Amino acid sequence: MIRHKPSFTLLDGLIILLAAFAFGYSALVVYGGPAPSSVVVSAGGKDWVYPLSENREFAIQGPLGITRIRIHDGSAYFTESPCDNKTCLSSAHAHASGDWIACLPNGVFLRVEGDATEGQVLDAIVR
Amino acid sequence: MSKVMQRKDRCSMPLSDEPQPVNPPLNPPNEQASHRRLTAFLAAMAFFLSTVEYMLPRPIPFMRLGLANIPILFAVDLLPLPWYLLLALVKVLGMSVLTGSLFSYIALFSLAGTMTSALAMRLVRRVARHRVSLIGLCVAGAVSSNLVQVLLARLLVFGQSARYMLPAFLGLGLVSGLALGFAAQRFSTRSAWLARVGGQHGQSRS
Repeated sequence: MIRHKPSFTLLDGLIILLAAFAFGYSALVVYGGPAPSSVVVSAGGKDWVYPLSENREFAIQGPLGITRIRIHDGSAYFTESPCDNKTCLSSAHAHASGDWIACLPNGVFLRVEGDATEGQVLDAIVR
Repeated sequence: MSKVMQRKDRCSMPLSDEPQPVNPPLNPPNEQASHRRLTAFLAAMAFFLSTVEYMLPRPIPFMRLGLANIPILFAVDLLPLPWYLLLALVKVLGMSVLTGSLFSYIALFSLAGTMTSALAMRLVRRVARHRVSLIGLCVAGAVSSNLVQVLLARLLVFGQSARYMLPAFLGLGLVSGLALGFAAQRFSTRSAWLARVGGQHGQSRS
């Protein structure tokens, strides 16, 4: 005889609702910001901020080596990474507020955000 | 003929789709050996599913279905806590060997995620007992695993920026937890093998 297993229950629904609420709330906080204006790259405890509107290419030093990042036509993406899996290179280009690309092995994190410097002309800021 | 019969007796997999009688609970002397065999079998299943998952194309980076967690999900109702935790640990080690990340700190993320997920599922089962199905267990496990991995990323690697990962990880945890939970739930109501193993091991858990 096959043992009775509970099918979908009220508690299942509650757990799913809680997870959906946590997802919705975090999405609202992360993606609900102002219009995208800058690219923030974090590595080794420092942040570098670049305007999203200016095309450029730059290198960031991580523990494994150099990660190269390109900003082109309002999108930012990784072009070169010393990591093995290259997940960061195959990530979708970041162009909207809240978009991000991460390279865990080399400890480099890129995100797009809209911030108070919007409208200002900046070359690059190190935080 | 007798050889065939002996092999059948040792085999843990279902031999037919026909429902089979639930075996009586194990006697204490046989219990440990039986738990050891089931742990080894579930760990082997986790390795196999890891390999299958490794071969599947990922539509987006970080998208991981978590197929190898299915044996741990079933083990919630089958194994005592020490064997259950051992299964989770062996699964992490096996996956890290398969992906070549054993001696990198990526293995730490895998370890933290898997152990958190395993403990969360066990805790939910303990508190809610059978008022929650494998679907709720799986979602709780997947989401808690992803949460802990984002927390680790914040503490060890990316700092404050890691908060940007939360929506993607929570969303992926929810979707993969639901998909695997429904699949596991459907399997559990139809599998004669699981019914037989549950009859041997599960009764000692409740």
